[in-house]
Amino acid sequence: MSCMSSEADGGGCGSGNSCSASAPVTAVVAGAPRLCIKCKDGVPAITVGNQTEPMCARCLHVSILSKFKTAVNNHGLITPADNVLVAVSGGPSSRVAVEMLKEIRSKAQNDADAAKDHVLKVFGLGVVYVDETTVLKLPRTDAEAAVVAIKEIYEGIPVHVVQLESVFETESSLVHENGGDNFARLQLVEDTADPKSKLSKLFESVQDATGREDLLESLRMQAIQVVAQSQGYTKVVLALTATRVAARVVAATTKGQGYSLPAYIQYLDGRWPVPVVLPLRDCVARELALHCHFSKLSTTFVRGLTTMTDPRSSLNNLAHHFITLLQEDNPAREHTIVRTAAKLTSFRFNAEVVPPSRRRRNPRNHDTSQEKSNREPEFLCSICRAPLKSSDMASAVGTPHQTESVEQNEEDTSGQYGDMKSTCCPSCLFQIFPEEGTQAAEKFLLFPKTTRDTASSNFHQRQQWIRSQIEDFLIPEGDDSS
Amino acid sequence: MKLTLEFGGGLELLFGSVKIHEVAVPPPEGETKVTVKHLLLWIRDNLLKERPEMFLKDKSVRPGVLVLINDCDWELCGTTEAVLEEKDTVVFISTLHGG
Repeated sequence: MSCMSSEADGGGCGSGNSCSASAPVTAVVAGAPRLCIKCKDGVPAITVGNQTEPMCARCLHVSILSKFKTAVNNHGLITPADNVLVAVSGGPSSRVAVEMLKEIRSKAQNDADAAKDHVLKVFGLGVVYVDETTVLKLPRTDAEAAVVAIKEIYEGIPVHVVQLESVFETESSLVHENGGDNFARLQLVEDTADPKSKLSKLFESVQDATGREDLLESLRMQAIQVVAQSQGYTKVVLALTATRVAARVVAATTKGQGYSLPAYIQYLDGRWPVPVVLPLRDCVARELALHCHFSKLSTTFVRGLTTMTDPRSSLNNLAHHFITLLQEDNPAREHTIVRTAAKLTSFRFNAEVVPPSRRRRNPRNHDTSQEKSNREPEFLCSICRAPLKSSDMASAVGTPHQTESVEQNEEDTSGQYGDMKSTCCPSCLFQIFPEEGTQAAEKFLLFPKTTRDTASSNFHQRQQWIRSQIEDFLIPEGDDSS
Repeated sequence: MKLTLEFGGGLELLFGSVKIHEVAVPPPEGETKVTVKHLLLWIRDNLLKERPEMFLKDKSVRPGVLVLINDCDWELCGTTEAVLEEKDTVVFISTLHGG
């Protein structure tokens, strides 16, 4: 083919080649010289970046790095005092995230070394890989090969490998036990079941394909948070691109998650013990994959749940496919969707720590302190941590614990499934926890202890808050005046 | 025409988990040139092991699949009408599962 290139950053289509000029060119005017639009050196372009700009590999790299640094600096995502943990999957997005952070850190290290007083700090860096082979039911050899590949790719920085089933480890469980007086009760017993089997049981109990993916995502984050907390990390980086965020916007809309959507798409997500940041939110998946290829950044493909299910059976997959279709028609669609969704009012846990010099004068969607103090606390879904609307938790107030076939031991007040169902978002209730009655009681026991404890805590917090709002109108106990 | 084909981003699963294929693609009947369009049809008929809909859509690649011809984005080379030459390298990268 005439578009010969001898080097990744120097070669490419140039004039005098036999590329068909009559073919539809989406990004470059036919017949125009295909030179890098950024370089002043007349370097041939080898790709199309920023939707429509032909550019060379070096300028593609500079473009991505610029967007990354702008996100980090303008939104205060990472500070020199931070210890940053990047969640990696082997794919190009997380690979690029780590490379960008290494570049920034390297420069910061040079500045720190050159500083006369040697007090400049440099942020720490590590990566975490969650081994999900238990739910994927892949051969153990595949899992081991993936881990080896990940460690090779990220050689030189700490690599933490955690099994997804670790969210079940070292916990006691509530089990049904027939008491001597002929009613079943919930008893706390030492749990000897294998975490893998617990995870498998939970997954197999979820019939809905979208629900499985969403459950997997929340368990994955729990596992990452455990690593981040135990290893002293202060920020978790997710390599979510504009492509993924746009797909999430579409998927959330179809699932009726409009209220909670803003929580997931901001640069900072403070719902978790270790805050999560999205520094690649302004980059599209396409340019990151191209950058990995041109810069010869090694990646590895690890099978995931999305690759092993029929693409049409999952709302998440369908949304992603829809976005790629849109992108083919108009490369700017992903950014348009993300920009539009970003205008939704975010939550308090999305508030960024922005340097004074970069604060906007008229923030569009941040509450004033007066408004903040009057607002009710933000309650989160026990499974996916989606913010809950008041109406979603209406059934939590005064609902008797539903134990139709399980008579309640008076002393056992923890872990009732009714607490959990009343503190789940409608999407999780529909996809993951639709059971009622006895089936719900059994399903409840399959969730990790942290999830059950969170549910109980959420339920009681909600009750306390409601009580505080109506305290003035409550009749004190013992007051029998008419 | 001898070509080197590379598949990445999970596409290799559709080709027997083999990433690099050295192939010989004959030009279509009555023609002397091999275009990317013809190559895609040849891949569908001779290399694809399963689920063609994950790689192809109509006479082009499925949305989300990047194509590079000698390390040059095919969008700059005429996409499906780009003419291939002897010993060219064509890379297909899926962005559907990257993370």
